[in-house]
Amino acid sequence: MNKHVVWLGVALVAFAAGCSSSEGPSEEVVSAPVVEEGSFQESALGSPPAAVAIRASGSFDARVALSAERLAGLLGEPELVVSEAPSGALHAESARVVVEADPAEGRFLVLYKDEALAAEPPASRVEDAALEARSRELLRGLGVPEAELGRVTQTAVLAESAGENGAPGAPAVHSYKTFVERSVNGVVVLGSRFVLSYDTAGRLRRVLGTWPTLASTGHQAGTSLPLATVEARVTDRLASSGLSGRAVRTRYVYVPVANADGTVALQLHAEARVPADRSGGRASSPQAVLVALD
Amino acid sequence: MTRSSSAARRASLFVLSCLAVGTVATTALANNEATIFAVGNFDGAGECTGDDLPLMDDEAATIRSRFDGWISDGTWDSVHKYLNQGLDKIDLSDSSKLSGGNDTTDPEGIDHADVGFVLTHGAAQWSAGRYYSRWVMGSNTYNTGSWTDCRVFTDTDVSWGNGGSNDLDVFITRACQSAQYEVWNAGVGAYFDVRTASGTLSTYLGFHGDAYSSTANINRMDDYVRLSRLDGIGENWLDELYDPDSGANDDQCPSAIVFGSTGTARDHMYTWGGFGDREDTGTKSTATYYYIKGCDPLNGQTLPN
Repeated sequence: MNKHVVWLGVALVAFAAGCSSSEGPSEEVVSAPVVEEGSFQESALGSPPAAVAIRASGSFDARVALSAERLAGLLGEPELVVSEAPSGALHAESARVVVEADPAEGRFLVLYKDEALAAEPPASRVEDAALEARSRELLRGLGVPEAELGRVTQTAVLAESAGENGAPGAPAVHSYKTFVERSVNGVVVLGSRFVLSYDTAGRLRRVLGTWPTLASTGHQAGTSLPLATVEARVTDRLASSGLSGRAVRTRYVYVPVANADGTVALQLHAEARVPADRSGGRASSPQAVLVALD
Repeated sequence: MTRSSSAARRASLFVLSCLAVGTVATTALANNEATIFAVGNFDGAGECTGDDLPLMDDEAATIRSRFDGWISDGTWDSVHKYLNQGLDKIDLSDSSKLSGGNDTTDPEGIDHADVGFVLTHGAAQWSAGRYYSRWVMGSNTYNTGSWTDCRVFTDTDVSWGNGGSNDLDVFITRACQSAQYEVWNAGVGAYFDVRTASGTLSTYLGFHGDAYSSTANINRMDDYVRLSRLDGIGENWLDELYDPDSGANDDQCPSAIVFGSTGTARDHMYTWGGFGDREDTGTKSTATYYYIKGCDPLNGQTLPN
């Protein structure tokens, strides 16, 4: 459970609808298998976050760090050739890396070329703890404030191959991944993330970042609304969306709102997530709704 | 496109994009076509039944806007978007499998495009000798009196990139259970039904288990499209759409299937291919299924560790 996300175990709306694995009408010849390993876990909101001040991102400003002038230094690639599109998007390339960056939106992707990676020695350690530690160190090197690191998930991508008429072979590790959420004031920021990837020898092979620069002012960090009012708004919103009667998981999130100068202001919302309801063969999908808390 | 030339071509494309703003696309960049289908309205007259998905219009518009930007830059040729009743069964179905199937039609058949998106309800089946994923349509125009009229099935309806003007290379869907591990693993060859060995379809991106219709996913789709024009078409999908945020058995688990003759070719497309860099992966005789280790979604098994 993410300590930065407010999840409590009190049901907001009574669980009323079961979920099957597939939405097949009764006309379907065979019944769909049921693979549910447990019920959707409900939660309710705790007290809303206080309206504390949110400061700008400190030393990491995507508009500066990802600029054409700074990119080569940031990556330690003096031979980087950088081109800038009219939109401000950057494409950069050297013998070792390819970079796609959009400084104004805080997005970038750094790819280390296969040939360059193959020429590098393998990492001394490739276990999860060592890779996560390297990722955290890399983010510190980029100037990402430690206080903004939310949940960090260290995992791997597996790959299985098969021919048309044969069962898949055993899974093999394709790459190792560190997924990093952004958290401000203990609340998840929607849309901000880093994903750092390593090859099977533990060599850094790509860095994906969406980490827009926080504005210095204009945030709505908290609300003075009482919890009962917040819950009522969520309940009303679910009702108006035709989603009443389902299990609900709720949390507070910050929704980034883009400013003209390339920064984002954070706006507090309650997010309610409900599972699909395929009872009776109805077509359905899980949905999440956002409720503004002004 | 040979792999050895892709980096040089990317550089050339970028230079070209800087020079070609405001001009028509060049011959060298012809035939970059994308089609987006999104269904959010259900239960109305002429519509199929299901829960409404009110965010679908925004999601489709967000995807389209990226392609529109590339058209303005001169690095993409065309994009079409069809909402709600703009999608019916024949748009995704091949005439070799479904009577009246018309996926070849330009522009509203998905197989005329190079890159196709489908956003709607989805489900899968993996039992009793049948293994498939399926999508729910927006229009009930196709009417034979069967419950299947409003659904397209990977096994009985789809054959993409199967020659001539059927030249879909990349299929992307934000629909539940659209690249389900149980279908891949137990239904030997099940997802091979969507392609032909000598055809063009190399990349199929979807989800194991359920996927949310949400503002967060609109942002993730936007990020994915934004970054995948030239590189990372498969890997970006897993990086952007994986959401471990949700607690026990509610992870969001994107998965990718790449068809091609060798593991090297498939991995290269997954890692270095893009919407505008659709690599030739050779004969689509073998496939690789990529997924996040241990991902645990609603309505899907926990993926292997």
